[in-house]
Amino acid sequence: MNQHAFPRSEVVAAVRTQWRSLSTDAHRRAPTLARELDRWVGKVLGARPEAAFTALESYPLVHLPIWAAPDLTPAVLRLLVRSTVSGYLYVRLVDNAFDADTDGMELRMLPAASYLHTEFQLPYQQLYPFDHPFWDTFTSAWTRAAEATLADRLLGNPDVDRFELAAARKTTSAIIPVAAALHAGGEPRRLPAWARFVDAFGRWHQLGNDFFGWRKDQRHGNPNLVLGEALRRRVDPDGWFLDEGFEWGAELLSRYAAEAAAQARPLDSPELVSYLEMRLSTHRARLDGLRQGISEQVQLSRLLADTTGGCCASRER
Amino acid sequence: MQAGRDDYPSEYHRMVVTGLVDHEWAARLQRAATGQSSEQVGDVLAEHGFRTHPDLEAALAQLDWSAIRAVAQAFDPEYPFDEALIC
Repeated sequence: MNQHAFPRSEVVAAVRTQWRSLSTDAHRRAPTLARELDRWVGKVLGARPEAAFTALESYPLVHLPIWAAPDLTPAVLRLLVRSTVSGYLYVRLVDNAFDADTDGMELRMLPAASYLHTEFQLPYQQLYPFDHPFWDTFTSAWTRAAEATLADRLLGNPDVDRFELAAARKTTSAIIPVAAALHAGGEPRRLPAWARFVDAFGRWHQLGNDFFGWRKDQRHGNPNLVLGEALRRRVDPDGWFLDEGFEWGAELLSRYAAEAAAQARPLDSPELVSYLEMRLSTHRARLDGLRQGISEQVQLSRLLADTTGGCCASRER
Repeated sequence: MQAGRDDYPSEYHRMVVTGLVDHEWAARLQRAATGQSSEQVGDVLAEHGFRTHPDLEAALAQLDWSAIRAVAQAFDPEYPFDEALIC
């Protein structure tokens, strides 16, 4: 029985108020930028950004700090949420432009990245002076994520080893708000364990993106592990995915999920453990449903192969 | 897209994993196979070079088409699915 509510109401409220405040401040300072930003956020996150940030299937960026430091004051929570919303939008804007997941809107409004990056960093400057150890984590995590994003893009479709070294590290900057929360709660010694969890969870999360998004990445020419694996095996990704790739990916997802759950256990965060149980159980149920669909598709392909004299699809397997 | 024996293996193979590729055609086949349209299964199949046979229509009607389309949707989220077509 799950006794921890997800999403937490104060986190949902903080995302709602901080996004409104970010937008209002932008309208005051830079009306053109604000108009474009509102339009773009509406397009990528929908009319209620707080729902997108706090959906079960989203990366729990805005919840991690309060799970790491449950005694976080409302004022610090608001600052961290404002920073996280801005940082996420900054990364999403740059990534969408970078990954060609765009009809040109992101490229046109790239200057808005300046505003988002400033709003990502400012809350931390309110919390910590420039020589505070928090900034070591900030600098290394932020740089590491940028390095991973660039390496992932430039190296093309990865194999599993390269995926773990590059793509899987694109979300490691999620440790930044966690580090801020741990410092605020006077528990920076817990940072290495949280960093291990963020790395493991990011690996699982990114693989989920590659697994469910391989057709989109193929269409846009973006690097993707599923495509890399098909390439390595010298097979057509469509057929291979149906025959073997789905189970190959599901098994890797399961391994990464187990690693993330193992890294969560020592963190003494019942809310995180409860969230993971809920998230992973939903994920497993989804895979089971899709497994049924894959099996029906195989059946369909056999029936259609029979209509051409049994010449083709099953023989190729 | 036209596919059949002559196009084997690439276009043919894409067609046989049809729910992932030719969504519109798969949806028409689904509706014909499950009696939701007036089209004949054989006519829909013939458009892509497939021939029907006596047992095929019954076998197609027994497939779990909603599961097939769930796979198509899960792995091709950008495709503009017509909600009305999803069982």
